Amino acid sequence: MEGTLGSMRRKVGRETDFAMVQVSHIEYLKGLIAGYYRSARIEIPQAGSREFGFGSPEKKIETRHMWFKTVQEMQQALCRIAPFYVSYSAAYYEFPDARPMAKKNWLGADLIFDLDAPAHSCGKFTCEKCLEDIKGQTVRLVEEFLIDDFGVEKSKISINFSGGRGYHVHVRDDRFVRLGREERREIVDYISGTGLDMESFFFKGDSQKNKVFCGPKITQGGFGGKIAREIKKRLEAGDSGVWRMFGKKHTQKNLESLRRGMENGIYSDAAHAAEMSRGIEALKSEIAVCLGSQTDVNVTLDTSKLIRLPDSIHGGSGLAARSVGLERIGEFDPMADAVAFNDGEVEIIALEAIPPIAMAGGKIGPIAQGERKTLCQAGAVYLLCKKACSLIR
Amino acid sequence: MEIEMHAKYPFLSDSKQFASSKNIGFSDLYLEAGAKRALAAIGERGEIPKFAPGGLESVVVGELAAYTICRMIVSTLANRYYINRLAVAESKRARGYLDYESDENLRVVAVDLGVGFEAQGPASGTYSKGHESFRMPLHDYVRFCPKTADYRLVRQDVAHGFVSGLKRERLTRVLEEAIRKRIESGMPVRGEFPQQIVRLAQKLKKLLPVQQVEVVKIPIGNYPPCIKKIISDLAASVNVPHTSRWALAVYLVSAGVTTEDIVKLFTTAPDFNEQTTRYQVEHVRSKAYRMPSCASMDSWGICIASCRCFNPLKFDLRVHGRNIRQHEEESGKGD
Repeated sequence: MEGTLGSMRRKVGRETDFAMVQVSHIEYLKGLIAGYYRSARIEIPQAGSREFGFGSPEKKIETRHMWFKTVQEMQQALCRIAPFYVSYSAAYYEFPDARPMAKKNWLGADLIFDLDAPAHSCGKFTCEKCLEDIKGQTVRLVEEFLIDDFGVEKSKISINFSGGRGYHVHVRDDRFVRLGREERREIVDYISGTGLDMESFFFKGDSQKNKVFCGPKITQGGFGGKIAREIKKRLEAGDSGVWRMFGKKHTQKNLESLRRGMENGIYSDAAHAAEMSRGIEALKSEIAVCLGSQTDVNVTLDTSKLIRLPDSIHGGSGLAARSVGLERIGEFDPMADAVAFNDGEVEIIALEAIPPIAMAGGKIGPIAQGERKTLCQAGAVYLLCKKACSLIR
Repeated sequence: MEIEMHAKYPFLSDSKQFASSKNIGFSDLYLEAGAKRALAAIGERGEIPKFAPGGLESVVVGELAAYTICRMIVSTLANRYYINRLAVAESKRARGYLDYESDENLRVVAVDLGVGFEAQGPASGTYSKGHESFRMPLHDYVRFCPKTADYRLVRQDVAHGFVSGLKRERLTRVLEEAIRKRIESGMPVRGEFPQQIVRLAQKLKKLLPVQQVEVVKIPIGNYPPCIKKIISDLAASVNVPHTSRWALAVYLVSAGVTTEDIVKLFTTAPDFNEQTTRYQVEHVRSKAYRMPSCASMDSWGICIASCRCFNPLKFDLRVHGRNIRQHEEESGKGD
C-alpha cells in the first residue's frame, strides 16, 4: 500500500507539499473501523458453525480458518483487530477452524448469490445507474425466482449491499442446505437462463383444422410462463417489435384476441412462426437474471466459499455491507444508507481525477488530480479506500 | 409393503430389514445366484435379468441373497468402475419395475430414497393403477435429475418450490437416478467377507473383459479442455451424461479418430455396452453431425474453460497453429 501511494504521490507532482500529507491513513481508517465495530449490530445465524476470515487492504482474505463461539466473541476480535474485510463461510461445519478443509466436516451451506454491477466505463467509482440496475436484478432474483419459483419464504432470505458494486442474497432454507456443487449449478443455470432454448416452448399445433403456433400459457410455471407474461406485458405496452412478431396492428381488438389466445397457449398463425422464434430469442435477456461473470457464479457453486459478513465494513469503499430488508430495498441508496463514517470534515489531496460521486446525500467531485479539498468524512473515507486520495494533517 | 417389493427393490431399507430377519446364509445356491448377478451386471451386457414373480417367499429371499452377495463380490474387486457399473445395472433393473407400479408403490420407493412427489390431475385410464402427471419438490429434482438437456431445470415447469407436469416416465427416470446414487454411495461394502466370496470375485475377474485404457493415438494435448475432461471422467468411470458423450463422439469423429478407437474410450463408462456404443458412434459418423459451438457446450454445462475458440474443433487448429508458429520461430523460418 505504501509503495503504491508513494508512486501515486510522485505522479501528483513535486510542487505538492508532501510534508503535509498524512501517510498513516491506514491507522486513521483502522481507528474508524474499530470504532464502528464497538457499536455495530451484527447478527450471524449459527455463528458457532461457521469459518471466518479477515482481510487487509492488500488482500480481502488474508487469514481464514478462524472460529468464534459467539457473535460477541467475534465482535470483540473485530474491535481489537479492526480488519479491512470480514468474511464468513456460507457453509456450516462441525469443526470450522480445522485444517485442511476435509477435517472441518461440512454439514451444509446457505445458498448465496452475488450480483455485481458489470465493470464498464464508470470504472472504479461505480455510478448510480449501475448500482440501480443491479438492484433491479437483485429484486427480480428474489421476487420472481426465489419466492415465486423456488417457494422460499421471505423470512429465509436476507439481502445485503456488498459494500462495493452490488448485492449479496443469502438463502437459509433447509431444503437447499445440503445441495452440492452440481445441484447448485442447476439452480444457477435456471436463474441465468443458461441452456434455455426459447424455441422449445413453441410448436406448430393443429386446432379446429387450422394450423396454429402454440406456446406457453400465461399461468404456466418456469420459463414458459415467464416468456408468456413478458410477451403479454410488451403487447400491452405497445412494443412495436413484439407486435411485429405477431404480424398484427396494435389495436384494442387485436390485443384482446391475442390475450385470449395466449391464455390457451395459442399465439398466432403458423405463417409467422419464424418471425416469432427470432423475436422470442431476443426476449431472453429480459427474462433471466444476469448473474455476471464466472467468478460471481462461483460464489453460489462453491460450498466452502467465504463471503462478506453482512453489516461489516468493505475495506475497498469504507461503506458498510448493510443488510436491507426486501420491503425497503426499493428506496435503499447505497451511497447514503451504507455510509458508516460521517463525522465532520476531512482535508484530502486527490491522487487522480475524481468524477462527481453521490455521497451521504450530497456530492463529492469533480476534483482534479493534485487538488486539495475539504470533504465530508464519508467522501474522504471512500476515496481513501479507493486509493484515490491522501489525507492532509 | 408387498413381499415382492423386496425382490424388486432390494436396496430399500425395508428390504434390508426383511433380509436380516430371514438370516440369509452363504449357501451354494445363493452364492451362485450372487455371482451370476454380478457377472450380468458388470459383464459385457450390463443387464440384470428380472425374477419370476408369483409372490413366493423363497423367490424373494433368493433375490435378496443374490443382491447382497453380488454387492460383496463387486466390493471385493475394489474397483470404482465395477461399482458404478453395478449401480447402473441395478438402477435400470429397478426402473423396469417402477414403470409399471401403482402410485402407492412408487411412493414407497420414493419415500425410502428421500424423494418426494405428488400426483397431479385425474387418475389415468392408460395406467389403471395411477396418474400420468406428477410434481416433485424442486430440491429433490435438482438432486436426482439426469444431466441431459431434456431434464434441465430451465426447461421444466417450476413454481412454488415444485417441478410440475412430470410424466410418469420422467418421474421413474429421476427415481432411477436416485437409486443409482444410493447404490454407488453405499459401496464398497466394508467388512471381512468369507473365503467363498473372495474366490468368487477372483473367478469373476477372469471372466470380465479386459479394461482398455490407452487408446487413441491422436496427441491428447491438442484436445480442448472440455473434451479432455469428458475423456478423463470416462477413464475414472464417472457416469458421464448423454450430451457429453455425444459431444465427445462428434468431436472425435470430426477429428478423424476411428470408430474402433472411439469405442475403446467408452469401455470404462459404467454402463458400457459395446454394441450400443458402436452403433451410436457409427450413427454420429453417418449423420455427419456438426460439432456444437462453445456457446452450446456452455449451455449444456460441458464447457469448463474460456478458450475463446468458438468451437472445440478450432481449439485444435489454434494449438496446431501456435505450435507451427513456434516451430517456425525456433527454426528461424518465421523471420
